[in-house]
This record gives sequence, C-alpha cells and structure tokens, in this order.
Amino acid sequence: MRSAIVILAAAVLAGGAAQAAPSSKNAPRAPAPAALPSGYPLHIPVPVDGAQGVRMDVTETGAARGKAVFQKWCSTCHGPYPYLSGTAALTEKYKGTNVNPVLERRANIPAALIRSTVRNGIYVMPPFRKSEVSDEELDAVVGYLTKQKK
Amino acid sequence: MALPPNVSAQDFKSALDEFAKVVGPEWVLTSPQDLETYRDAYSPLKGEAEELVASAGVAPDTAEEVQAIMKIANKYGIPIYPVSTGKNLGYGGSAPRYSGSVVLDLKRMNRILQIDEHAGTVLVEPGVSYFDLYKYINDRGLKLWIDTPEPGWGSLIGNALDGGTGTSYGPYRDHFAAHCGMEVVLADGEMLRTGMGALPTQAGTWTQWRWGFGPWLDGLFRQSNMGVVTKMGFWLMPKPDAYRMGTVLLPRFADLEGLIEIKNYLEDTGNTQGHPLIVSPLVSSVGHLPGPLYFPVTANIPELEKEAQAKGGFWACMFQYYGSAKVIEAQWEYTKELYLKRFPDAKFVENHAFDLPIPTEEVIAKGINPVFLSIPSLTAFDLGNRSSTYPHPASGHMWFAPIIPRTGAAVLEVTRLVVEILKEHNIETSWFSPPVTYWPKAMVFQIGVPISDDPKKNAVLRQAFRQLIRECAARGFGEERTPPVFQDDVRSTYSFNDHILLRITEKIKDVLDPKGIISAGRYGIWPQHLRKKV
Repeated sequence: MRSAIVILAAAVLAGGAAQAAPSSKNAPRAPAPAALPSGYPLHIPVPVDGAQGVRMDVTETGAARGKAVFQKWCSTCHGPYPYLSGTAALTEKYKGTNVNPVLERRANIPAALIRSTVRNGIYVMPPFRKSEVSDEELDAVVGYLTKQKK
Repeated sequence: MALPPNVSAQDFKSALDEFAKVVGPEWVLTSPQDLETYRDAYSPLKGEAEELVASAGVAPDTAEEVQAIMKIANKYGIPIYPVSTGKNLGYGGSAPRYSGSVVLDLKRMNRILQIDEHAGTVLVEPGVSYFDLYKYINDRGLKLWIDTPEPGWGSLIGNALDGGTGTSYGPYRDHFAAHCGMEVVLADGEMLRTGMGALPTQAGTWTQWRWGFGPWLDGLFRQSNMGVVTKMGFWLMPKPDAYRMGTVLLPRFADLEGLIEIKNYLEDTGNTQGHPLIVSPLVSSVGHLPGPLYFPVTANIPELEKEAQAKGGFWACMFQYYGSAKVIEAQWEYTKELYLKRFPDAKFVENHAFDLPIPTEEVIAKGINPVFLSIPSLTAFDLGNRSSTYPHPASGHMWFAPIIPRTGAAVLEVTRLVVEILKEHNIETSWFSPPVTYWPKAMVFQIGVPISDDPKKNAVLRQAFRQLIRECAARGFGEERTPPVFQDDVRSTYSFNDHILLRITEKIKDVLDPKGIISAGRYGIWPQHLRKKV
C-alpha cells in the first residue's frame, strides 16, 4: 500500500519536472513515469475500521515480565541514573545510610511497601490505577524487586 | 458505597451491573482501594469534605464499549467523567470535576491504529502515551519525531484536548493544533467522526486534511464536555539531521523589549524553530530551574546593570534550531546579525551544535532537556521533589497559566503582579517558567504553586489562586487552563456581553447532552440541572 502511494508521488513529481523545463534541450530527462495503477480505485483505502492496531501493553511473560513492567512504569523515574527524579529523591532521603537509592539494586524492600506506594503514591509521585498497572503486573513488579539481586 | 449525586442506590447498582456486562466485572472499580487511585494526587482540596472524588471507575477496551457505557449512563442519569491516561497532574489528575461522577477510564484503550512515515501522521486511542509512541517509533526505526510534553506519560489525546503543549519544533508544539480528525462518542452513544474521518471509505486523509467539508466541529471537544473522544489523528515531524542552541545576551534592563521583538520576528519567519527561552543571568535559580524574572518598580536598575555586566548580560534568550546543519548554522548567524544591528554590544554563546541522532545519555550529559530532542521523560517531577535544596518534598502543585502578549512590558507587569500577590500570602512558587511561546503569537507563564497536606495552608493557597485569576484577568491576562476547583472562577472572567460565550456553549451542551451526564462542570460548563445563575 505504501509503495503504491510512493509510486504515485514519484509519477506526479516527474511530470512536474518535465513541464517546468520544456524548452531546454540540456535539461535532464525526466525518468519514465512509473506505471500508474490501472482502473479504479486509484486510491488505496487505509484500513481503520476493523484494524486492530498495536496495543502498547507489556508483552513479556514469565520471569522477564516483572522487569519489563518495571521498565515501562517505574524506571523512567527510578532507573539507575542520578538525574532521574525518583532516584534523586531517594538519594537525598537515604543520604548518610547504606540504603541504595536505586530500587532495582535493593532486595529488601517489603512487598507491602511497594504495593501501597504504587497504589497510594507518595509526595509528588501519584498513585497508579489498575488500568495502568494491573494487579497481575504489580505482582510481577513485586516479584522482580524483592528477588535477591547480584 | 459512594453514590453519584441524585442517583438512587438501586439505579447505581443496576448501572454498575450493566457496565460490568460490557467491560467485564474486573474493570468496574468500586472498592475504597480502587477509588483511592482515582483521587487527584495534587488536589488543593486534599482530604477535605469538598475534595472532588469518584464514585466508581469503569475501564472499557474499545470505542464500541464506550458507546455501550454511554447508553447505560444516559438511561440511569449517571454522571460520567472521561479521562485518557488520567495524568493531568496539577490540573485535576483523574478525579472528576463533579464529585461523585463515575470516571470513564480510557487508559486500556492504548492502540496505535495507523502510522504513516511518509505523511508524518498517526492515529491513536486515548490510552496511548508519549512514551508509548516514542517506543513504537524507535522499535521500528521510523524517521519520525514526537513533540512531547513534560512528563511524557500523558495521553496524546488527553493532552491535546486539555490544551497541552510540547517544547520542540514550532508548528507541533500546540498539540490541539497538531491534531487532525477525531472520533467522538456522544452522550447518547452515537459515534461521530470529524474532518475526513466522516468519509466512510478511507484513503489515508483522516490524519492529513483537518477541515473536511463544512463547519469544523473539533473545537467543541477541546476543554469541554460535549463527547468522549475515542480516536484522534496527529501530525508528527520528520527527524531533523542536526540541532543547534545559541544564546543572545543583552546588557540593559530596557533591552528586554528589543530582545523579544527580534525573537518574535525570528519565530514568525521560521528562522528559529525551537522553543526560545527568555531568562536573566541576574535571577537566581530555584533548584536547577530559573526563578521568576522579577524586578520590582523599586529595583535599582543602574546597580543591577552593573551586576549584569559581570554576569554577561541583563537578559538572555536561548534559541534552538532543527534541520540541516548548514541551514541552521546560517539561521543562527542571521539571528546574531539581527541582534548586532540593533544592539552592537550584544553577546553570544554557542551552546550546542551537533548532528542527530545522539544517545539519550549524551543529551543528559550535555545538560539539554531531553524533550527538546523529542525524548519523553519524567524529569518534570523534579518540581517539588526532595533534593538537597528542597529537603521537605511538596505534595504536588497546581498550575497558574496566564496568556500574555509577546512584549517585554507584559513579562515585567505580570511577573510583578503574580510574585507580589504570592508574597502577600507567603507562598513560594515551585517553578515560575520563563515566558514561553508554545503557540504562535502569544506567550504564557506556567507558574507552579505547591500544595500542602495541611488544609489550612491549602485554604490560603486557594484564596491566593483566586486573587491571581481575578487580578490578572482584570488587566486582560486570562488563564488558558486551570485545575477543576478554579474552572468556574476562570470561566467567569471570560464575560464579554453578559457571558455570551458561556451562554452559547451551554446551549450547545444542552443539545448534545440534554441529561448533562458528561463531565458536568468541566471548564465551567454545567448542564442545565446543575447550572447556577451567573
């Protein structure tokens, strides 16, 4: 479908160039126009109705799921970079302690704390609804974050 | 169980049962724990009896399910409040304007339906976030850029409908203006498509030609409550080859007017495409963000100009350019030429010039806000976040956003007005943005007012906020967007000819939604049965 549109555009452009310089013998010759589709319709309908599109869900399964959910929903604030807001806030909070501000590098976060923070939020971090992080996805994140890290 | 106002327990139960048949029982959310997640995390009424809260959430998966829900809600008179990703923080979050409404949570509808790399267009559902679209484009290596707001987890549709903006290439920064065609479910469950979407056979132009044939209805669904938008087309920009940032510094207080006049000309002629940032080297930062450009009438200007000499200038404007390296170098040279012609003592800083793409880590290392390079992030949460300079984190903030003309006089006047009102109430802003042009022809300030967990402090904040709305509007500086709690206040300032704008809007509301079930009170538009006499 896309290539058909490109061919159409190329044909139109080629035609335009030929018209712009009809008298110049030295003008480069326009390439022979690509064949137009014959008959009707010339326009190729783009499916909208009935098209399923692509869902932007977390698709990883099994052991990889918890990490994938964490990456989609948590790592944009709590990833391993000091400039990320969540990591920056925890760096300040745990200053002078040996608690790692990077959540993925800790194995001792209580599951209940993860669940309540995700569902209730804290300070500027808002709560997350089930339509965003489902109960099953939250279980996967809890599994990932409470697993012993290397 | 919480009940919507004026709905019997029996009717509410019947409606919820019928919703469950449409979406599945797990997506009708009524437990106290679930309702907690629909609260506005940044509510200035947090924990008070008047806090705006939901009675339930219902999360459909398709536009057809939205149609079925609207028919049920219409039958029982259930107030419905649609949200897309529900991340409108500082402007109401996922909580309804009319307390007790059922939140129609569209986050599960997260399909990217169609993307055309050559045309630079995309058709999406409300649950698609900027992060989602960014990932989709990058996973497929498409040569497209997105214009993303901060933070990037908001919905393309929700952001556009609420008047949201981004910070990259000019024509794409106004997200409603960059949309093209929509699908809307009306209060009675009927489905409407606008623009070329109204043609039953599609040739790809839904997302390319916004006007269709006849009157353009899309504006009815912006900052309003006339329907539930279930699909929208958007224009995307091609990936540029190179990026450049340069700063112009001018030495005198009075130079602000000229700084802005030339900036306006450069923007209006397409000679700079990025988001210009007007700052002052004299203004100290709040954390890593610039503070307000506040120079009171009593300021000792000659002294400040001396100080400015040591700091490089009184005013600065950071310009950004996207495109071919050669072309944007010439545009920067032209920028300097225009300033030098008028201000022979202008100074310049060459901040950045590099070919694209570059890795996100390098963008951060260069100190460039990732959104300038089309990279969505959540770094906006630095606002009110715990840090060494801000040891007691805020509980959120609300935004005050007056539209101002593109003049230096307006920048100074509005900054003075806002800072002085807030000082009077002992309120520190969490961020006072530079005056910015998200749109052509006008500037806006975005002023973050931190909220508290203490209802007494929040009462003072609300009072100050209302004073800001009144006093700015009295001078012609109207708000472009506001938290739900203040929407009636702002609406009442747009009062020409005995509030005819509101009166006509209400007439349309009454026709499209006679029972007034969609988002009662949103942006100050109330259905007939809840309307107060202005």
